[in-house]
Amino acid sequence: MAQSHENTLTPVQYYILIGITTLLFGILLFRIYDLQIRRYSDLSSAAVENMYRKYNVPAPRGIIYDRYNRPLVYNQSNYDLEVYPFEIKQSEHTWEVLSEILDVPAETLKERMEKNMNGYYRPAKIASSLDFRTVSLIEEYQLELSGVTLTSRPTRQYAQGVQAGHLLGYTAEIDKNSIELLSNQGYRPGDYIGVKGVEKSYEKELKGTNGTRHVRVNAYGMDFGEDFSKSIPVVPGNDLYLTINMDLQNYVESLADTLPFSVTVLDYTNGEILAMTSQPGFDPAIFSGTVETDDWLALLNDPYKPLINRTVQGLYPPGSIFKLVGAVAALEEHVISPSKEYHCSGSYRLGRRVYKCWKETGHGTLDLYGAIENSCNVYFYNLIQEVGLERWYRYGHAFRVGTLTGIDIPEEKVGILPDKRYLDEKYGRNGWTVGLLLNMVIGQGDVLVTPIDMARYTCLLATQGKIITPHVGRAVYDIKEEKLRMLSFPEDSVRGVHAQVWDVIHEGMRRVVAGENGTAKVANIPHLEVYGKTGTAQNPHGDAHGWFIGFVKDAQFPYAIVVFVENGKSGSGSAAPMARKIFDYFWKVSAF
Amino acid sequence: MKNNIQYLRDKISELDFLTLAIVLVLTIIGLFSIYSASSAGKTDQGSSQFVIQLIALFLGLGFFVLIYITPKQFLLSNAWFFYIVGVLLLLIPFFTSGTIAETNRWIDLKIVRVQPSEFMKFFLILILARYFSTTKNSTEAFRYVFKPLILTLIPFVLVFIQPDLGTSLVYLAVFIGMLYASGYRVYYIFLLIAPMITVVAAFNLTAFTIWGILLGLIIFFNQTNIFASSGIFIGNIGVGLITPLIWNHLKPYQQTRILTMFNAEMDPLGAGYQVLQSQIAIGSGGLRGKGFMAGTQTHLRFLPEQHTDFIFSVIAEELGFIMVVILFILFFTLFTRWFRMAYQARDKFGAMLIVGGTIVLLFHFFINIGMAVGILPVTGKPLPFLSYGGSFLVTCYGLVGMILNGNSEQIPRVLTYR
Repeated sequence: MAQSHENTLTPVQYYILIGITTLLFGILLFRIYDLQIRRYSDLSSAAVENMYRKYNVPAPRGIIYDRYNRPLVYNQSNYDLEVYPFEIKQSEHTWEVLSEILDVPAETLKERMEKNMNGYYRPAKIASSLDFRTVSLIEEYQLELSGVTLTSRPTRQYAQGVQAGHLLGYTAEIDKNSIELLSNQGYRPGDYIGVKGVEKSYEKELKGTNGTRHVRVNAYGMDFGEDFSKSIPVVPGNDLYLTINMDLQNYVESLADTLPFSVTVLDYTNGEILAMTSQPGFDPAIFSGTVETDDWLALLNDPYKPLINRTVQGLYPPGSIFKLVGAVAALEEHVISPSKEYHCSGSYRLGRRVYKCWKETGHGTLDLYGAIENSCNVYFYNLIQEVGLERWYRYGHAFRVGTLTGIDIPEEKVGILPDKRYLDEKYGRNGWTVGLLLNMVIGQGDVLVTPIDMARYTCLLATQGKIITPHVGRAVYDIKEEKLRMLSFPEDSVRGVHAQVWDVIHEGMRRVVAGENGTAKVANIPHLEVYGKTGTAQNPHGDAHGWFIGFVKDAQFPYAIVVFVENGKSGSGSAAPMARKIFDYFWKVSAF
Repeated sequence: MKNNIQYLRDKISELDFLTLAIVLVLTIIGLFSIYSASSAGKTDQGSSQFVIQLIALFLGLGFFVLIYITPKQFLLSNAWFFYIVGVLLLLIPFFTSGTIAETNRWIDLKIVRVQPSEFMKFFLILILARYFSTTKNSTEAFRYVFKPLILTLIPFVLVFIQPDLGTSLVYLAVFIGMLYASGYRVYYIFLLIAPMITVVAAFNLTAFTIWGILLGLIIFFNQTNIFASSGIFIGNIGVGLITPLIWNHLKPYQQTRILTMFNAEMDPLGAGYQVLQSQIAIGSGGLRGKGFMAGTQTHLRFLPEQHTDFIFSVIAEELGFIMVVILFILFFTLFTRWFRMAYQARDKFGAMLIVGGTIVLLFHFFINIGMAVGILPVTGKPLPFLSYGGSFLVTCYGLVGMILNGNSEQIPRVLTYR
C-alpha cells in the first residue's frame, strides 16, 4: 500500500502493538520450549506412567494358628464393587442398573463414590462384601455396567466356635486420617488394618505387602492386558502361631454368662497363655466386611462394656490375693517366722479406727499358714505394722506389681503400687496415716492391678521368683525367608527371696485349696496338686469383685490360672468355682 | 447493477489471499487434530465431529464472505442497531432457564444452540470502531473514555454474570486495545487497568505494598492536578481493600480456576488435574511428537475437553515442537500482518475494525495456549481456527471477514478523525 494517505495509527502505536504480540508469542514459546525440550524426559515418562492403570492387589493377611497348629483365623474371598468415576459419569443408566441390583438409591451410591474418590481415573469403592447373588447379578449385567468392576479382597474368617474378639482382635478398613500417618508404611486407601488383639499387635507380621497390577489400557478405557514386567507381586502376610489352645479358649469363654469376668490360663514356666478371655466380649466375625450399624451400636451401648478388654485394661483392687506380698516381705525381712501367732477377734483397732476382718466372729489365734488359709485380715494388719510401707513396697515392686507386663495384646493399662512418694503426692505429706497401709496389705485402698498383672504375679509365686512376660505369640512363619521364627519374650527373676520363704508361701496356698478352712476348697480336685489364693476386693460402686489365683504343680499341667469376676461378691463364691471347672477340664482332657 | 458488479470486483481484487490461505491451513490442521482427539476411546463419534467441524468451516466461509462484502458504510451506519440487538440477545438466556452447566450462555434454537456473547464480539467492535473513528480524541480524557467504557461494561457485566469470565475479559481486551489504537494516552489506559492490577495485588501484602508505591510514583510523574492524583490513588487503595470481600462472592469454580493458576498441583482432581495432564501431553510430545493419532495422553483420554479447550495439547503431543513452531509462525504472520493493515488503513473506522478483530483472536490465542501450558487459568477459551466448536469457528471466520473488510479501500462517507 502506498503512502499516499496519512496512516491512521502512529508508528509508535504500530510498533507497540507488534511488540506486545511478539512478547506474548515469546512467553508462550519459551514455556513450550521448556516443556517439550528441557523437561521432555520427565514428562514423557509421566505420560508412560499414565498409560497404565494400576490396581492395588491387597495382600492376604497371615493365618493365625493355635498352639496345636489349628487355624483360628484365615481368609476367604470377599467381593467389593468399585467404579471408575470418569467412565461411570457418562451414563445415568449405569447408576440405575446398579441401584436396582444393590437395592440402594442411586443418590446414595453417588455419594459413596464422591466420598471414596481418589481421582477420576482411579476406582472408587461403592459397596463391599457383596453376597453371592449380587456378584452373579453384576456379572450377568456386565454389558450395561461400563466403568464398574468387581474386586475380590481376602477377608477374615474364624474357625468354628471361635469368638475370642479381645484376644484375636479384628480388621477394619483404614480410615483417611490413619492413611496419612501410615502411607510411608505402604498402606493404601481401602486397605484393612488390625484393630485390637493380636491382629493389631502383630499387624506388621500379618499385613504382608500389597501388590500392584500394571494393566495397559486401550483407547476404550478397557484392560489391554497386564504388563508383568511392571507389576509388583503380592507378598502374603506372615502366618502367626499362638500359644492359645483353641479348645480351652472356647471353653473358658463359655464359663459363665451372668457377670463380667476375666480368665487367664498360662504356663507359669514361660508365660505362654493358653486361654485368655474377657467377658462379655464380641464376635470378631461381625467386623468382617461391612459392620452393621445395629451390631456396632449394641456393642457401644451395652452397659457391661464388651469392647473393654478387662484382662489387660481393667484396673481393680486385688484384694486378699495380694496379702502374699506382705507375707514374703515379713518372712524375708525376718519380721516374723511362719509360726508367729496373732489373735483375730474379728476386728483390729488402730488409733481411733477399727479395721475389720472379713469374718466378724474372728479367726481366733492363727499362725501364718492359718492366716493365708483363712485369709485373715487381722493377722496381716499386725504383720504389716512390723514390716512397714517401705519394705512392703520394695517386695511388691520387685514382683513388678504396678508395671506393664509387656503382653503382646495392645492397649495394656498399668496398675498402681503406692509408695511413700505416691501417697505424699496424693494425700499430702502429712495427709495419710499407717491406716492406709493396713488397707493396702490386704489389697485394698490405693492398690490397683489388671488381671494380667496378677497372672504374672501368680507365675512368680508358682516358680518361686521367675518373672515371665505373659504372651500369646509363639512363632511367626516368615514368608520371605521361608522359615519359622520363634518369638521370644523377656524373662527375669526376683533375687533375694530364699527358697524357704517360697516354701512357706506354697504351703499356705496349698492349704487355701486343700486345708480344712481353705477359702478355695471348692477348687480342690483329687488328682491335681492345686495351689491358690482367693480375694474379695471391696468396690465402692457395687458388689465386691471376686478373685482367684492359683497354679497346678504338675509336669503335664504347669499352669497358672487367674480368675476375676466383676461384682462376684466373693472370691471363694464366684472365682474359685470357675477355677475348679478349669482344673476339671485339665483332668478331663488328660484322661483321654 | 453495474455499480454493484464493480464493487464486488474491487472487493475481490482487494482480498488478502495470504490471510485466507493461512486461516485455511490452520483450520485443516485443526480438522485433523479434532479427528484424532475425538476418535480417542470411541469408534464413530470421531468422524462425526470431524464432519460437523467441516460443515462449520463452510458456514464460516459463508459468514466470512457475507461480512467481507458488506459495505463499510452499512456497518458504520447500523452500528447502534447491531449493538442494541446484541445487548437484547444477551438478555434472552436469563429468561429461558439455562440448562447447560447451569449457566445462562446459550439460546436454544432447537437445531443449534447459539451463544449471543459470540455475536456481541462483532457488535462491540462495530460500536467502538464507530465511536473512536467519529469522535475527536478530546483533551478531556474522562469525557472521551466515558461513553465507550459504558458501552463495553454493559455486555461485560451481562456476560460476567452468566457466568462467563473468559468472554467478558475478551470484551475488556477489545476495549483497551481499541482505546489504545485510537490514540488515547497510555497513562490514562494505565489508570483504567490499574484497579485490576490492584485487585490481583490485594491478595498479597508485599505485592500490594510494592504496587502501591509504584502506582503512587507513576501518578506523581504524570498527573499535575494534586486532587485528581490523590483521588485516583485513594480510589485504587480502596478497591484493594474491598477485594477480599468480593472474592468471597465468586462462584467456587471461578475461585478454583483463578487459584489453580498459581498452583496447578493444588487440586489434582479438578482444573489443576487438567492442566497437569495437558503439560504432560505437551512435554511428552518432544521435538517431533508421537505421531498423528499416536498421542497416548490424547488417546487414553487423559485430557478432558481435548478437542475443544485442549486441542493445542493434542497437536503438541502428536506433532511435537516443530509443528508448534510452524503454528506460531502462521499465527504470528496473521497478527502482525493485520496490525500492519490497521497501521496503513485508509480510514480510521477500518483501522478500528482491524484492531478490534485482531485483538479478539490474539486474546483467544494467548489465553488458550497459556492455559494449555499452565501459565494462565483454565478459562475455557477455544483456540481460533483449531478448536472444535461450530459457533466459534464461524465467529473466527466472521472476524477475519471484518478485518479484511476494514482493510478494503472503501471509505465511509462520514467525517472521521485521526
